[in-house]
Amino acid sequence: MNTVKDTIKEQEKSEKLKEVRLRYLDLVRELPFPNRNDEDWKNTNLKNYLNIETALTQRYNFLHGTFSSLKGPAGMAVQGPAGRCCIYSMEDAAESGFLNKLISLKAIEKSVRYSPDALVRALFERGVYIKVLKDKNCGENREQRYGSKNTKKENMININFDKFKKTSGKGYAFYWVVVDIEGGADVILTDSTQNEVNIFGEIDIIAGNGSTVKYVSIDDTSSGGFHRKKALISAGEKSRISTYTAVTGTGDFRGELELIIQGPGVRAELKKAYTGEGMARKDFVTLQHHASGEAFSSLSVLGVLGDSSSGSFTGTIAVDRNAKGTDAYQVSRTLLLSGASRARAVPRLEILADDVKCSHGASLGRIDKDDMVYLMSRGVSEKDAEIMAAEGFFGRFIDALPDSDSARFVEERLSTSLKRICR
Amino acid sequence: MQNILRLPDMSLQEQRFNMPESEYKYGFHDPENYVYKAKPGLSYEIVSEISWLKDEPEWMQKIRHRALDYFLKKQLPKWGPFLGDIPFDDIYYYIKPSEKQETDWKDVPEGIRNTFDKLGIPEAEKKYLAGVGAQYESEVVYHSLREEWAEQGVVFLDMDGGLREYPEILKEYFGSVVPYTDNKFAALNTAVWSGGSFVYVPEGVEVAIPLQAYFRINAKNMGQFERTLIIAEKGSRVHYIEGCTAPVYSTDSLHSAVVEIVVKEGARVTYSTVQNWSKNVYNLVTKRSLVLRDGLMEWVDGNLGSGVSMKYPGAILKERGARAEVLSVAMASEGQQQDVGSKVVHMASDTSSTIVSKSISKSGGRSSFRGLVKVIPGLSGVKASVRCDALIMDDESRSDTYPYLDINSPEVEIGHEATVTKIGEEKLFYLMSRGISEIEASKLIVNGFIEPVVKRLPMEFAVEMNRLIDLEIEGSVG
Repeated sequence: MNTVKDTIKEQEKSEKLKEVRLRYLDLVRELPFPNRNDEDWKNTNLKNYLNIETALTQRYNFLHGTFSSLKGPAGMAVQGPAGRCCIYSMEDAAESGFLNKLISLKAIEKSVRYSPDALVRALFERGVYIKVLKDKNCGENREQRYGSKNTKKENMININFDKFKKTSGKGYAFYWVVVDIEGGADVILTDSTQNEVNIFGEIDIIAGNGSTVKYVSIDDTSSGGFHRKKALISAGEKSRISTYTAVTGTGDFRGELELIIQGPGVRAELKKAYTGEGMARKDFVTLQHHASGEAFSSLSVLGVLGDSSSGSFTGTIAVDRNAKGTDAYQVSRTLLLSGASRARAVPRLEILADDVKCSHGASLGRIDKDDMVYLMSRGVSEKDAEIMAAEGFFGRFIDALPDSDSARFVEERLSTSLKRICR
Repeated sequence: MQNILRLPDMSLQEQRFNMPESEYKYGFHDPENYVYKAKPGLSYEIVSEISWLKDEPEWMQKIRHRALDYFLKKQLPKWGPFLGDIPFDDIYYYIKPSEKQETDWKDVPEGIRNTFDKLGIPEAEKKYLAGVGAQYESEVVYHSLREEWAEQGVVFLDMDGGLREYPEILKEYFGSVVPYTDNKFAALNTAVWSGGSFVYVPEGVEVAIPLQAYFRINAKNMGQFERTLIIAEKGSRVHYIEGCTAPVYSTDSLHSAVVEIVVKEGARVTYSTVQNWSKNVYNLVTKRSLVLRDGLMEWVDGNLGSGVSMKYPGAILKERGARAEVLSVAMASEGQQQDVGSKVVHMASDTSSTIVSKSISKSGGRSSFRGLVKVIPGLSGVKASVRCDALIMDDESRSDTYPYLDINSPEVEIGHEATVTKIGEEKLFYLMSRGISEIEASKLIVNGFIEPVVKRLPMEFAVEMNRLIDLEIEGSVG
């Protein structure tokens, strides 16, 4: 324990960030490690992927303070419209007081329930704090330094992580991204990762009142690797939230998405699409928490499982007692393409208010035989027919993506994966 | 994440005790005048005593002891309602109310007979039942089966009688569907079971009218642990109905039954329950059937009473063509937690299952649907559908849905749907604008909501069910 504490004390240049890291390091010891008796951890045995002791003795380089020209923090590239999007290193965010303000938010504070949650915040090597403003007034010099070159669209921010590769002596990598969106702002956020090692990340999106946020997340894990991605979205009054998550690869993935509806008038649409190849285990846990009424949220999860992969989905719609006028929906559809693939779906509703409309649906099965016969009668081989049908299954998800670049990218990722599954 | 909304269980407990007794029609109790009452609490001595009093074969006594070991070892479940308040040490595990079992109501001790008269059992028997078993505390006090069925070889006995007269059958099937290692309360039941029904329907016999068992708890702090075994041979058909009530006391009683059903090739068993325990009863029941080739198991489950209910009637579809249907209605009122649902395991190809659940929460009650559909690897042609609808009557109540779908074969069609709604203002307005009072309108809506399940009950039960629900609503609306 002391070794990592010393590393933090020695390497972390920002006093304020040092405090934050040490505070979470203490929490690592205090909080429980998730085990399979916990409802939300039934399908992932985190012990297989993370050993806290190893994580605490591993060498770390807290490089986030070093920026390479306009590229952004070390290990990741962040692009956003200059002026409207202010990109800070976590060090600067801590020094400027933003970070402390953020972690004192109730939703952010409450999201640390288990020791691995605290571990991410104590040990992250790649971190970034992005402030998105409504108008171009990100004037201060210090901030402009990090505001990087313009992206194609004016409201687009791209976060690209360098591939998390195997390097000697390192089993784990941690990252933490915060996107703080001012009320009324309009933004498309994309982030993409590729990993070979076990990585643990957190992305917090604070959507201000009346903001419009589209978030595209594209993740690919190679076999032997594991990615736990925890996304927390706090939706302010009258905000519009759309998320698109595409997950592929032969490695294991656990995606957690927590949406907290903080005020009336929120409309949130959460979409996920994933494939399971090889021995991959994909586990998705979501929570649509309606803390305030008069809001709408919908979630759809589409999965295609091949080889001997397994996919699981545990989704909860929770409606607080005062959240009247809630309209929440959840659907999970899974295609099983091979005999050895397996799927689990647990859509849960926990409703305390009476004036609500909540529903969920789940279906599991294989490609419709009629579709196959139709395609094959037109000379398409069985394999190709299967690929086409599975691509069609993802069609709506791809069509819904907010920009053509990410749509092309996601489509390519998914169809390459489907080809590998079907061949 | 699921803990965010957990209700404080203590307050539910308190609410339950504060219920006015007059609301519950079956809340009366008789003076205690028993032939034998064991000391409260659970021990090897009590278990041996029960076995000795019943003059059981040694193998049964051994099973009881092994089950007790398991019960003591096993923890209370961490999920679902809070069970930490069950006073295991204060409960009477065995009470023998009368010297022997009767086949004529006239011979049943007067006090007990009056109770069953009040509950309307003898009258119902005359009208529409093929056979009746009436259990009072730990023992079955009355049993009858119409001659025409007895002649065809149908056996309808209490479980103790079954053990005496058909020990080989019992030895083969006892614990084969629900072993004592299944869960803590199945272990408890196996250790201290007493009473319950033993039904055997020979090959090809169709019992056209229902058999009924009625369970009554009378004493304070009573634990009732009946054990039922139904075996339906090839091509046979039987409908079994159970009903249950208890007096209202300020301390808790425990009802923990085990029901095992074996549905053989092409047979069909319907098991209907109208559970109306008083609100001081913990109802923790394990019910399961094993369905063989082309067999059909139907569970029709009405849960209106009890303080805490945990009941998931299930089916193991073991051979090709087996089917299961589960229809359940739950109503959770003030101080009640109805944690009910169903469990279906598909273990063979071309099997199908349907689960339909309707729940109503009112006056601060909590109803949860908890279901499991599991398909093991390597199957094809499996179909399963789960549908659960919930109605919330006011803003103090709560409704949860926890369906688990665990699918390990691709050649399946699994569908699940759930909705939660409140009584629609528009529907109420529509009805009330036509001169129907608010109470009547609410009743109409609720009865319409549960209609798909109620229509599957025998007429008399359907009427009773509707009436009970009407009574509950009258207490809460207006």
